[in-house]
Amino acid sequence: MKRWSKISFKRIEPFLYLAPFLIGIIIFTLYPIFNVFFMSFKENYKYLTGEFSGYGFDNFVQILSDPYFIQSLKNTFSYVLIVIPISTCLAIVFAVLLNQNIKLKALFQTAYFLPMVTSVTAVGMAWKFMFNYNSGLINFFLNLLGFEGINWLQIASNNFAALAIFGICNILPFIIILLLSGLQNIDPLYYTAAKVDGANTLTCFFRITLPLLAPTICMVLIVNTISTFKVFNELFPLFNGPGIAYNLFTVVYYIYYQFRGLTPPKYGLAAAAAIILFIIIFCFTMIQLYVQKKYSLEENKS
Amino acid sequence: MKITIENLTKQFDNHLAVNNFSAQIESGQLVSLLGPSGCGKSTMLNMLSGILTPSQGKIWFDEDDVTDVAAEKRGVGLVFQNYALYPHMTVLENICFPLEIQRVPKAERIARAKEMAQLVHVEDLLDRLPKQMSGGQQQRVAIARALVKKPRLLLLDEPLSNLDARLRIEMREEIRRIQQSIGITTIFVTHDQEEAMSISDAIILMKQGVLQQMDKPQELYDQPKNCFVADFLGNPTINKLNAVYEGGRLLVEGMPCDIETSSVPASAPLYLSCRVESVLINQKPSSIKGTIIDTYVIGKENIANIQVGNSRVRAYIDSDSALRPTEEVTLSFKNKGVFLFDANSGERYI
Amino acid sequence: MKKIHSIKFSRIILYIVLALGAIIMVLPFYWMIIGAFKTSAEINQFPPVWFPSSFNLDNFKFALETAPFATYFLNSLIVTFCCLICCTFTTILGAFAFSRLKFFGRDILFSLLLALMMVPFEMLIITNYRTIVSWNIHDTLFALIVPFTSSIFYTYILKNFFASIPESLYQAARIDGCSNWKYLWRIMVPIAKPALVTIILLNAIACWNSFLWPMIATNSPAVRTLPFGLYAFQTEGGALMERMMAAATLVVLPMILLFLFARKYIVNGVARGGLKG
Repeated sequence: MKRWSKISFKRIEPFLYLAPFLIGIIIFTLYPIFNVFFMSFKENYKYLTGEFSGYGFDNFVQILSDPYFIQSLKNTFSYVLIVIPISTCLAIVFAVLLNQNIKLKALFQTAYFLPMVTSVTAVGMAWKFMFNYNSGLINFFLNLLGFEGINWLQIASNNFAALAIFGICNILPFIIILLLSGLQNIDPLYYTAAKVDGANTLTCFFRITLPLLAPTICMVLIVNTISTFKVFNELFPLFNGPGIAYNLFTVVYYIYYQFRGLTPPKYGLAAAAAIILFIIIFCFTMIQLYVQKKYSLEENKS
Repeated sequence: MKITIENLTKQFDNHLAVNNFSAQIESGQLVSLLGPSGCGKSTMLNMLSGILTPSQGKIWFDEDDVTDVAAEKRGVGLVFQNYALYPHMTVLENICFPLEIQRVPKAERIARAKEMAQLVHVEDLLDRLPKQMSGGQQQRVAIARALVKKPRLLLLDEPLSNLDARLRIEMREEIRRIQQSIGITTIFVTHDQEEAMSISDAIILMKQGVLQQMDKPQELYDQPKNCFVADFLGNPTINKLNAVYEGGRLLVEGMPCDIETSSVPASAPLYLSCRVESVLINQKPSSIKGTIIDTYVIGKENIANIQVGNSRVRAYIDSDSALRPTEEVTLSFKNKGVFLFDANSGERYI
Repeated sequence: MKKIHSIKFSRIILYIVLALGAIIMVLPFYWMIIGAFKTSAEINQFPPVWFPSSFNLDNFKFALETAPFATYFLNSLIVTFCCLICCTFTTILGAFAFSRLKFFGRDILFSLLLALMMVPFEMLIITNYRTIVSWNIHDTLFALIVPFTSSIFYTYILKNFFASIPESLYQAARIDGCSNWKYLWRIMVPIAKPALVTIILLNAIACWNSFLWPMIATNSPAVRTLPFGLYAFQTEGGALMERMMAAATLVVLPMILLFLFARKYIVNGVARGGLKG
């Protein structure tokens, strides 16, 4: 009898360790996935009573014909297409420079990585202040360089540029760190060998650094594409919402707006938009897994 | 404590790691489990320690059947190949840890740990962390930690393989000294025959999960039970010549040999194995002929490589020997260190 | 001779570019902190004032007293602290089970959890909001803690670290009669301290700065955390820039201090595991 209870304790022990972790995951990750999935297909869903008329694609049809959703897709994609290439290029330059044998490394690192740990909302306030038309720092510099000041925040057509500049500066530290760790994995012997062969700095960069960093750059591109697709937080400090004239809807903002900005909330539409966001992210994750596999296979070969 | 192992078998998913293993280990002995890697010696050790449960068979510690007794209740001390010292604990804390689990009062814990530290000569390092010590010192601490709870059996799993050559010799003597001074029954797993030969009271030689021979080291060397045992022990390795018994006499590489044989099946392929020190060159008239390939010196020993038929033979020669490559020589054998094995079954005839 | 000259020259360029980048990255912070000390006359001046005339704390006083920033600050502390305690605890237990204990379906379960990681949190909020409403804990601090008591991401990182600790330590302890529970807390956790510190720091940063969920789950000022409180201050407080900057400084300062002290851990952690979300 005693022996039996001992064996059964051994059986359930792992699950006792897992339970606190799994309970949280089941309630706040697993259940919502299915819930949102079914919700997105429920037609005429009433959130108070839980009634719905049946399952169908009605929600998807509705949001895909909603100009705001189309706009949010357009904005999100152009945001990604602008922020990712520019920030990655800048990050490569700064990462390579930071990877040199420089003095005051700690100081530089602190400066470059600060925006990574600080609240987007709070830093966004400072940016809003700097974007100010009349007294902002950015227009001051533009004037110094002989350009006219731009009304970044109050004129709708300039909003996107302000958002993109803020977004680039915000994501830069994260990319630099990932690239730096990639750079540190490159064996310095390659550079010594190239120097012996008489290669100059630029040749070294294009023929050694970039090719060897390519796997890291690929990863960084995909990971950040996924995270920039969720642009949302940045809108609030700068514009108190989706741009000055409801012109900067993004996909996540659209989801938020459907079930929190409207009364009564439209859960079905929010869920459908969330499913579309998930599909986009899922595609990029698949690309990421594919690329990862390809590079690790190549590594194994060599 | 006497250990009796009875028909022990361990079956993993698709291979038999230990097969029908029976042996008896006398109290207070140091016994080596020797064999090439993958021969099941570590599996054997893990079954003795209780980390693995056997598929079949029984293990007895003295009169107690411990086959189903949990590892922590068996009273065994285990020393790992990588020492397995807790990296965040000092030497003293490491040695104390087994006692802490047994809820030994703190003062006694420390007293016993210090006593052990003295035994293994690490009493000056009590406040060090594992990473601040050499491999040999870590090994000593690991032994102290295994011994502090006064186990009935000490198990050492390839304890010397992470040390450099010089330290290895020092540590194996230390292990012998410590074992003798407390008289604990000890099982020592190794793949290094020299290690096993030098410190054990007895050696258990295993191959593919099967016990080949258990004997005193010198017996194992002088009287191997089969071809594998003869091949495995000895450095340089034993010479192996193809032989066959035909027409009432032994033909070695096709040349008649005057070694007396009896009860050898005719025409079956055989091996004539002879220790390097048992080969005599140009000393007796013999019809076994060979050609010198080269000669070389290792330390104080001069060795000649000789082509005999399709096989190579090594033999000791005098340092002032005038033997030169391509020279023809005749070979004969001493009485000791010459064996005849069945080439297929490995069974020994003489 | 010419070569040495050009090397020196390129070093100078290197430092200039690096310094320029650093200035651009730090500028918002400088501007925020400097702005917090300015008077309302100074803040609207053009060309801008680079140094305030005096370092008076009126703006901070206003933020802490008039707007309930002291409450926000306390809420942020409570939420971050509770999230860290709960999440670290469940993460340690979960990572241990996945790395050392053997049970049926362990590897399948783990791959399943990894697959869940790609589901964006933004998708889950819809249901999670309804969950906390149905539990009647919306608009309380509980709502900000409960959904974050376990994390697949941190469990994944810690599991990898745990798995790198040699199995022989576990066997050594087991032979001495050490229970799993004791082994975990006496051996595994102390050894994994660097990984744990990293996880805790990354989690602290994420908790402190979180914005979307508090904005959805809370409403009344009494339970606001700093980032959402700051945003509310902007829309409700008439938005005087110098006061906004003072409030923003309060939000940012603890994380800056944390970063200054634990830069290495944070940078290494991000480099190894990436950021959550």
